[in-house]
Amino acid sequence: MDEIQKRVTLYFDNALGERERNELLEQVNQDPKCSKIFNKEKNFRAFIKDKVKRPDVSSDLIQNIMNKIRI
Amino acid sequence: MSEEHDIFEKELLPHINALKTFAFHLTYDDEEANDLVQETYMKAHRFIDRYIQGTNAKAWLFKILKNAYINHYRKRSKQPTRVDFEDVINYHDTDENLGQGYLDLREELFSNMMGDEVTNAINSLPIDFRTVVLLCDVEGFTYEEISKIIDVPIGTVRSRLFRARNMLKEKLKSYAESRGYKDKRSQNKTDRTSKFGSEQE
Repeated sequence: MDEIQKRVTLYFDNALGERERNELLEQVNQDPKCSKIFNKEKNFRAFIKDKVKRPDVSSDLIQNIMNKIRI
Repeated sequence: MSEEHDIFEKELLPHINALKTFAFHLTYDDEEANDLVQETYMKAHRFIDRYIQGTNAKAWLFKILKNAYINHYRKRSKQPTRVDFEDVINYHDTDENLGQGYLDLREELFSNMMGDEVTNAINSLPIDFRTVVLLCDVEGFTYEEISKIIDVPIGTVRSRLFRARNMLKEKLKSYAESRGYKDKRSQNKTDRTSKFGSEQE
């Protein structure tokens, strides 16, 4: 995997140390290629998180659970 | 209220929305997802003495749900898609493929794509790939937490995530192309090839 892409992936997975995070962000600010990769990954992650279906939790489900644990 | 009930209501119950989302994407069925969530909370309540107050309740609940799913729901799954990773031979596992698989979707395409398409793309992933995407990209668990939830080494979590994301990007790219958008790079490549071909003739 491309080294920048690898570091960007680790960044968004919260798997970089503070120093590595800062170094990457500095590179993102200075290097257009790095910035493009960074923003593309950022958009992809946000896209998945925003668009994935999150079904409602009905009050009945919560009530059923609470009723059962009171028994 | 007993201390157990207090822990249950204040530390465990607040994660019910996240659990429902995870359960829904495992079972593809709202009713089965509800059953799975309910079973998860029943088990959590039964074994609440094993939970240390103030620790990672969400990860603990997800592990219970994942185990419940494996034990009771996988056999009845409407769309069994489990694969052995050894069978997915080097899928998108090279630098070259990473570049090709990386979406070059326009911002407006992202924003216009419907949630159903994303949900379908996620749900079409084999279960082990789908699980890591849901845990990492949707719920924000760390590699270490995911490793504990699904009982695999951290290296395997990373490897599955890498492959899962590339598969997901390919699927989303297919959706995008079906809506009329062509990847500019592949289009340019085609154009160049076509031009080159005509010059040779």
